[in-house]
Amino acid sequence: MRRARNLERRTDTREVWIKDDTVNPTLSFKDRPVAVAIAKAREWSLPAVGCASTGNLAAAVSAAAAKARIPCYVFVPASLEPAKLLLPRLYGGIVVPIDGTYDDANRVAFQVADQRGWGFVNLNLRPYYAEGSKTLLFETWEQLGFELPDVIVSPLGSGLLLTSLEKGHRELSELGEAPERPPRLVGSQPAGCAPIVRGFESADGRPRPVRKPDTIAESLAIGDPGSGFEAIQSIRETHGFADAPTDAEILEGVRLLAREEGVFSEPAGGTTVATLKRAREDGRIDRDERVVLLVTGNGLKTPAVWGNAFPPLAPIPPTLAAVDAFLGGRARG
Amino acid sequence: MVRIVLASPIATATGGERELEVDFQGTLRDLFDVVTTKYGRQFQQRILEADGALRRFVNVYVNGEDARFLAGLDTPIPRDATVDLLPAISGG
Repeated sequence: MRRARNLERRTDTREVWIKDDTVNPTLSFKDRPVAVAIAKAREWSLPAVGCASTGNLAAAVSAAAAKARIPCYVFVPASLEPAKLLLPRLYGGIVVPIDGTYDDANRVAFQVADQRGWGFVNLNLRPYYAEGSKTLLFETWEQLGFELPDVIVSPLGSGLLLTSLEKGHRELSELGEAPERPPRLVGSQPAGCAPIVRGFESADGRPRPVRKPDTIAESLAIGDPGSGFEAIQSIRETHGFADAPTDAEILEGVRLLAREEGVFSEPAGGTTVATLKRAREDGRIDRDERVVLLVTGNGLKTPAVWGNAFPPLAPIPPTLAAVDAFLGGRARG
Repeated sequence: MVRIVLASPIATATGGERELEVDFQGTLRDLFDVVTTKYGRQFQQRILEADGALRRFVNVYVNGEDARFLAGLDTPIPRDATVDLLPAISGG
């Protein structure tokens, strides 16, 4: 957990913290749920494990399966960024590249797991997997001195992370370790794939599936979120809200995180920053609320989102004159 | 023949049968009526809400396409179609 004082100034917020999961073993928060699911797969001596993934989960499952010496199969959209296809293969996972969206990969993965008796962490091992996600709430509570914040801003993919936060609070409260009143849970999803946000905005509270997600935040590009309905309920019950920043706002959020706090996030992290910024501007988050932003994946996995924003640098000779010219003159004083 | 493939959590409603073949042409709603006639109301209750809408815990695919993106229960089912019934579980 990092206190984000520069971001506080930029967003005019009294207290902002970053729950930084960019530095987990496989560089995303997915190591948390996978640890529990793979432990269960070992307990049951399952012949193989796997997942359907937008990238981060594929790496986390492959790494944990390598350590547990269990064969691993990960189903991903073939269009994923190269780094996200590289990592699971490096860990020894078999990557099954599906010509289609994440939802297509998910459908066929379920059929394969069902037919072969394999344990897919986010499908037939999902209840155990969800238990691991709760640790984000527990750690937040512990690292804030055994207190919970007023607001937690979470990225939304399937919605399971957000519902796990709600469950984590409920359990702490039942144990008498936290007040009954939960933190306000705020979900953030890219405008190009916002089935949960649109459902939150609707009267019936049902997600609005997206057939073809269109966003740079690939890790959140789940058009048919499995826990979307429950996530909407959790957001409503905790008096939070759901928000859908644009890709441009998300990239600006990633830049802010990097330049103000020295944290390099993939677009999912920029999504939560963008939502904080938008919500401070329109008052959905109050200046005096204590806010925790979940930053769930590392930016080194998604360099392609920057396109030509950082063009190659032309080398210069190793001379003072050349450096002066490069820097536009000699600094004074 | 229309081929219906049920994931194991849903096949509890067909006595464990995971692949059904039905000589049929009509809409998805009609197809479910045919299967309900054979397997009883437990199948219908597993797939449909009391008001006749598709249950949100079940995803239906017609030749690989999510029926919600087609015409829902009014989706025409060709005579040689494959209809997959899966629990609505997705995402990390």
